[in-house]
Amino acid sequence: MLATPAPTRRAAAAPRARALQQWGTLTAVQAPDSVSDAPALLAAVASGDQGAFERLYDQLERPVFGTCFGVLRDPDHAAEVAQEVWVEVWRTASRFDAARGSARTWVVTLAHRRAVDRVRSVQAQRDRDQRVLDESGERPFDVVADEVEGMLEQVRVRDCLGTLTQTQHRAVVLAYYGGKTYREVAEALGAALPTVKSRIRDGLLRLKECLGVAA
Amino acid sequence: MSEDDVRGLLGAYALDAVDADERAAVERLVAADPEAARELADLQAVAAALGAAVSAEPPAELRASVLAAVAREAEPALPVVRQAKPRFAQRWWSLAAAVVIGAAVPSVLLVQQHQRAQEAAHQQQAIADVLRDPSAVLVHGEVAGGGTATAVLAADDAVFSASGLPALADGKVYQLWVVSGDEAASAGVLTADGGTARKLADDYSSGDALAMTVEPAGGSQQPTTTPVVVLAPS
Repeated sequence: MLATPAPTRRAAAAPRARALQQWGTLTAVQAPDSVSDAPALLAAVASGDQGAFERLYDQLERPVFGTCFGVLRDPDHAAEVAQEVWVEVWRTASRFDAARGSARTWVVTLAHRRAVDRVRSVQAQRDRDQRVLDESGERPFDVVADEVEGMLEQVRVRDCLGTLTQTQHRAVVLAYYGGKTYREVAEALGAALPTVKSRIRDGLLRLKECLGVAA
Repeated sequence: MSEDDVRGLLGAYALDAVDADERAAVERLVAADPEAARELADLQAVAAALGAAVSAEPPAELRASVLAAVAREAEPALPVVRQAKPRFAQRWWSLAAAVVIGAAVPSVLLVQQHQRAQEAAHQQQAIADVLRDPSAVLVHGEVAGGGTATAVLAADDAVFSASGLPALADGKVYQLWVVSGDEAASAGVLTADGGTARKLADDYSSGDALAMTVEPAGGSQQPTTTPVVVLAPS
């Protein structure tokens, strides 16, 4: 009666080896047309192509997870947010505009925003609970900087951060990895708001030069 | 905020270090001003390099979990159904009756043990996925002979649970089936501890039913008795 067993369609329950096997066969057949660059993959994802999504995921899994982890500093939270980010990538891929930057930047930017949203909602909850003085609630610059900079695998990024002025460096690290608003950064550094705004911008432009990054 | 004020926020915006009003103001500016949009694109590329530079190993199960979540998104939503009455004597049963009652086949046992080991690894995540699926449907039914059964039927899996099950005679077990039209596929033998049993049916697809029968120890390849409960969507 059951000559062919019902196919298992859910990827989570299927051993990864099986999925790879399937793709192995398909890839061999599809290789000539298969799109591999991220912008084309995002366009295919926008049209509902799950295979393209899988390839995009494999290209960007690490930067997405790394971004979430850098901000959240907790592997479980980072995985949870990364999963939300990927579902959002699937839903909103059509909003990607190649004229406004690379696909990689688009996906990683989304990951950072969601990680920061998570930090702030946790912070808001903590404030509501009036446990503001909880030791993990305040992360002074040195702690954020030490924790994060120890995790930077790209020596060049670390070295380039080192070329910033102290205020630029602190402001960028506290805002990006600490998930703080520039107002909170100003408070933490005891600096004026316009100073912090301009240090962040100048710091990023200097990093751009140093890293040779272009949109 | 003046336009210059907003322009001055581009760096903070690229680091997600602005509040909601400021975010909206920056987005209005870059929509209208190509030069500001270019500067923002550069700043965001730098910010993304900061994120991508963090060294962290994604957990091994993240990939499968993300792909499953996206596969669910891609599925058309199941209709929302409430309660289903237990249905007995499905059409597949007439076919199953023709099957010779057989003793346990050792190879089946081995396969089931292997499946159980694999399930242990995936089950927890899969159950969590089923429960998160907004299209999932909850169905209840009385078990003939005693006890109640409940299933959460999602697009790609179902979680079955039963309680108050009467203890079976030696050499008999409860077995769960995924029933699709006339065909029944085993979802495995249930371990009923104190009358309670739970099982993830990961071969379940939207529209299928779940059925539980009493089978000889080790389970059967096809149902050999009338199901004591059938749980079906709508």
